[in-house]
Amino acid sequence: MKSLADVQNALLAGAVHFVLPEVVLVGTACLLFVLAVVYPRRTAAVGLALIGLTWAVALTYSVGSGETTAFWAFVEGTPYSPHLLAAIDPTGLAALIRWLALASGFIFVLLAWPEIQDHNAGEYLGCLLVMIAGSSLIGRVNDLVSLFLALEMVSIPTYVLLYLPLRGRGEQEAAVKYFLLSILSSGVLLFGFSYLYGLTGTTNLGALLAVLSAAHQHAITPMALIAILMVIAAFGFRISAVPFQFYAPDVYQGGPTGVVAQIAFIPKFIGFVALVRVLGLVIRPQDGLPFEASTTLIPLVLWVMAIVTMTFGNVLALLQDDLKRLLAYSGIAHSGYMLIGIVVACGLPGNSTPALSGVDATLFYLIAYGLMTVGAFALILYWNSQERPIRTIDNLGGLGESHPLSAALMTVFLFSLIGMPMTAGFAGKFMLFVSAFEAPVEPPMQNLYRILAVVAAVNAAIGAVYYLRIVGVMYLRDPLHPVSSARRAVLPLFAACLCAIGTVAFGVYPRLIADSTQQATPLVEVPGNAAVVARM
Amino acid sequence: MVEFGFPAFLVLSAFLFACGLTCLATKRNAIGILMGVELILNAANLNFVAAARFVPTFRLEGQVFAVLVIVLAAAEAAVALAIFLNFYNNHATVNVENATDLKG
Repeated sequence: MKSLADVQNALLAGAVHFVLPEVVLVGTACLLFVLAVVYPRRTAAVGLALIGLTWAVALTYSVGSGETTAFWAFVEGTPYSPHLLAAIDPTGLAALIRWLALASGFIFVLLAWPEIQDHNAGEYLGCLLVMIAGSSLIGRVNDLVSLFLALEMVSIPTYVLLYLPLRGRGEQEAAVKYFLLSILSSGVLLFGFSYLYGLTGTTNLGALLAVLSAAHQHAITPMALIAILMVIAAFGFRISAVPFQFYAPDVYQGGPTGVVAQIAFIPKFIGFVALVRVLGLVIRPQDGLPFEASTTLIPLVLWVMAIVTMTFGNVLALLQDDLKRLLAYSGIAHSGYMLIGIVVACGLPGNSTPALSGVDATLFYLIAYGLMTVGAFALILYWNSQERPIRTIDNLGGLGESHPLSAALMTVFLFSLIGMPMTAGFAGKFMLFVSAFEAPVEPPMQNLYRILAVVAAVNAAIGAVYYLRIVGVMYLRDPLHPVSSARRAVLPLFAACLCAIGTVAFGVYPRLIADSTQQATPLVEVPGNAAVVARM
Repeated sequence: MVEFGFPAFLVLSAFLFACGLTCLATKRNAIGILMGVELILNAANLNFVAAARFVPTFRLEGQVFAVLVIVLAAAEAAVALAIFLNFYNNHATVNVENATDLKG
């Protein structure tokens, strides 16, 4: 029989096979940085980035489910659980997150086209690929060190991207604000992590959670609570939940539109996935959730956060005239909806397996949110031109006549954001509301969950007001400026078409995605005591 | 030589963390804010290294984490100075109170 050290060494040596597509992406990014110096051309850079992405997709496809088999083969014939030993864990969420990251990578390369010039194309796309690699890693990291590394692989390129394409006053201000708040959240997260390490003596996420759960059977450690609240605060920044949302409107308004589309999706995406992992909602220790307040205080904190976030976002969005600012507040509101799933998953008693575990509903909504919001930004990018800049909602006047196709696409995205039936936004909201309404919990909590679902429904109705206002301006108002005949980049329009197809397809037939989100979020139970033994 | 225990390091790191937060909340100079962030990162580093040193059953992960964070802090400082220099070129100051173009 293999000894513990053998298994650990084999997992360590084998880890590289679980991150090959990410290695390809980062390698391509390095080539792009070199290419930017020796041959600064936009077409070459975009071509190389697409080759890298395609290669990563091919690798992901060829690996298929072989990763999971290989992962379990490491511990075959031993009593150890690989979730407690490996730094990279390709089971569960991992494959779905990687596909999502790669798909968003293609869309963002298409969106980048109008904003990059020959002199900055290489750096822009290189940073973008590193971000994609980081967000793909988030689904499979099982160690605090690699989790932090993956988060920073997304943050640091974002700082560069925010001030790379345009260097006006607005862009600089957005970059400075985003940088200072993002680095603060990294610091707070790290401090929380250091307490978690100090309490458990391991950085392996599975083992750490198992040790905490086992310890909480007997005693309460306030430090674990402080640590997890710090971690929630730090991820609250990434998902722009109230009270950590204040940077979002300024950054969205000032930043370059293509980059803002990335900021609207990727940080939220990684924030939710990382939060789910650290709270132990994917790999769930046998002794229950890892923090003693997991089923009481933490759902309550997130419950308050969810309600305040969605209400704040929707009410302030009503007052906005600037289009990107409005989308920022709408993004805040949607984060509030997505938090519902996390609240539900946190509050579930250990042995229950409801049809909707909450995490899958959140994942579904994340995908729907990504499609509709990135699509809306793609159209802003497509319409925007020198002589006819798209800043405020009034700038959209008359687009229904002059650009019937793109206006129709925008209408699809806005209807999906409202949550009209037959769109992905509706299917996602439906899953979230049902998961909150039907959660199998005790009566006092059950009432809280029902209140949550009702508040969310009221908020969805408030949201309809400002989205419909945009539709009204597009179709009923006369244009402010004469229609320009300048040639437009068609790539953003193509990206918007892809997003619209996804929005409608997942709305009409939600099973396309709902099946994979449900398969991706089984509750893997790991033995608690074995963890303590395995660590020694 | 006086030997300090683990709690002393925890208190020190908590103090550094508080100093860093205060710095972030009160400083108006972007470089000053960056210093506050470095204090927070190093408070976390101190926790990692102290835990790895004082608890005998712990393995090396804490020290590895600290080295990684030092590298990351350097990378972040490099990007930060580039952003601030750019800001300085337009505003002729690194005072973040002058960043008021975006409002609504």
